[in-house]
Amino acid sequence: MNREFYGKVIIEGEIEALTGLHIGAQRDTSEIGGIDNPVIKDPHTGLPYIPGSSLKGRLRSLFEIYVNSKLDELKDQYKGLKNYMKGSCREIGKENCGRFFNRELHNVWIHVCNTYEEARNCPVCRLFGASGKESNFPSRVIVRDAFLTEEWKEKWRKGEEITEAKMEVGIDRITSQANPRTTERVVAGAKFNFEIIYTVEDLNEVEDDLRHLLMSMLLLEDSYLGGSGSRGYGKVKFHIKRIAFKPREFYETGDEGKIKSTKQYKSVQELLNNINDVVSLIKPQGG
Amino acid sequence: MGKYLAIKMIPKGPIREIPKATTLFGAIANAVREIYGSDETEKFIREFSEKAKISSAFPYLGEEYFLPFPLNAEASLYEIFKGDISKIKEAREKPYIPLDAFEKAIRLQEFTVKDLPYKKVEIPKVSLDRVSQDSSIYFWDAVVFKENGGLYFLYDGPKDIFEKYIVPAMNFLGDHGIGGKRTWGYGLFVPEITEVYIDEPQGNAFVTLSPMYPRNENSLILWKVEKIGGWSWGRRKPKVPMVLEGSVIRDDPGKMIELDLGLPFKVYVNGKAFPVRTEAPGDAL
Repeated sequence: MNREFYGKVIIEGEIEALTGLHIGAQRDTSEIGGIDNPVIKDPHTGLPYIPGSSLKGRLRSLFEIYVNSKLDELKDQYKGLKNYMKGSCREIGKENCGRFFNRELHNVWIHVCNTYEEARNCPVCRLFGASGKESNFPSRVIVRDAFLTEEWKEKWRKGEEITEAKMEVGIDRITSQANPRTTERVVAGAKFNFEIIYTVEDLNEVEDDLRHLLMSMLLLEDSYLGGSGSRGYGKVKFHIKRIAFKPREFYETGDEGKIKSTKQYKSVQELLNNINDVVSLIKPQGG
Repeated sequence: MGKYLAIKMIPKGPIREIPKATTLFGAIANAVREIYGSDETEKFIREFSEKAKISSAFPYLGEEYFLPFPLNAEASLYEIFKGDISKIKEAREKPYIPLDAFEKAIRLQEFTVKDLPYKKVEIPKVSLDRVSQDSSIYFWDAVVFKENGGLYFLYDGPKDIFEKYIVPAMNFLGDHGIGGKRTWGYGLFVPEITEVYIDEPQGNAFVTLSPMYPRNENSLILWKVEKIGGWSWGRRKPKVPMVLEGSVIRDDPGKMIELDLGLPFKVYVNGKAFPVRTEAPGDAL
């Protein structure tokens, strides 16, 4: 086991909710006529936000499904995957059966490598971390809670609604009896500041890891964040404002002149197409 | 007047719990290892053990700094508030009090408490099955701060240790996070360095602002003890009984504890006191 540290890549920008967004919270109290399914809110300000865990979990889950579907191809490239086969352990009913979705977590099945070495050689666990049965592999990605942008906080201060109560109805297929419920969701157009931090621990793996991270963000844009995505909720778009590389020398000296940044990108797609701009900040000699 | 360097941790989100000096020291030492490597970390630990000390983290709101409730004041609440039960109850509910109240409390004078700039909340989380999208809800505790609120800790020691190790470590930790669930964005912050002055009386006892492991058990006057454990590189650390912040002690610097967990290196637990002079009740001495 060994770890090194070369610096951190900070990806900053905004997440725009293109449709209503529902990341649920528990109701504290029941009130007649109240919302059935509220969204999660900051306890001090009462404003909705996107928890880092929701965003990171969604990126990971989409990337796990991608890797599972390409497992045969990827086994040659990542030796940590060599003992896995496609599928979920649920059918076999035990953990560590060799299926890619091998870990039962809170009654659901996900993928987690069991050892540090396996995780280091797995594209998913190397990026998103693994709490293994034998040893952990720390995540290289940190996803911060995304709070409303100043522009949207200002709109809220001026009285504009940030969330809406959407009425939905379940209809009995025989009697046509209606069963209405209200779901709260963040209004379409709302923007949140996001920050994703990638820790550079191996210069040879940077490009691969960043590609996978950006690919997961692209997959998310064409999937959904939060609940009720198949009913149109949770379509989001990332706007990339700044990519900065803070090398180890910055942390040693505090000299902000050591921080290197790329230009602004209008989309994740554009950034992925120009991934070498970021890699060259980290490996200036192309080494 | 005690003058201390203070490191504000301006939060970018919630934190799992308010870190004690033991957690802060562990995080700083690990950050030093990431930045400078193992040899320099050993040098840092040696120099820190001999010359420097840090307090636990405490909340702030704007320019108002909070400190732990000193136990000598807690023991004397009835006298301090002249039997006013509502004031006694109000004071007892607060684990932290503003700096000006702390300065009065360590003199056993009447003081005023304030609302704390943070809340402890349970945040719902969901894990999703990758195949069926079955969901499972669970909860995590977190500390969330008011706008302009956050945490800070105090440093006392040579400036070169501060500038060479503590400042780079805090820059690193700001982007890395401190405490649990860092990869969900917990414990991220922007560091800011400032100074805090504590008007200390000419008392014959001290309040510690960090958990301490006393060199001499007779140095304890009024104390609370908690067993502090944790993990290091996948190994569970034995739980060490420590005297908590706010405890009243005689002159005892505490000590750094060395643990052998069977790892290729020693594990250190910061048991150094962060003493602030106080007046102890006469009958306690």
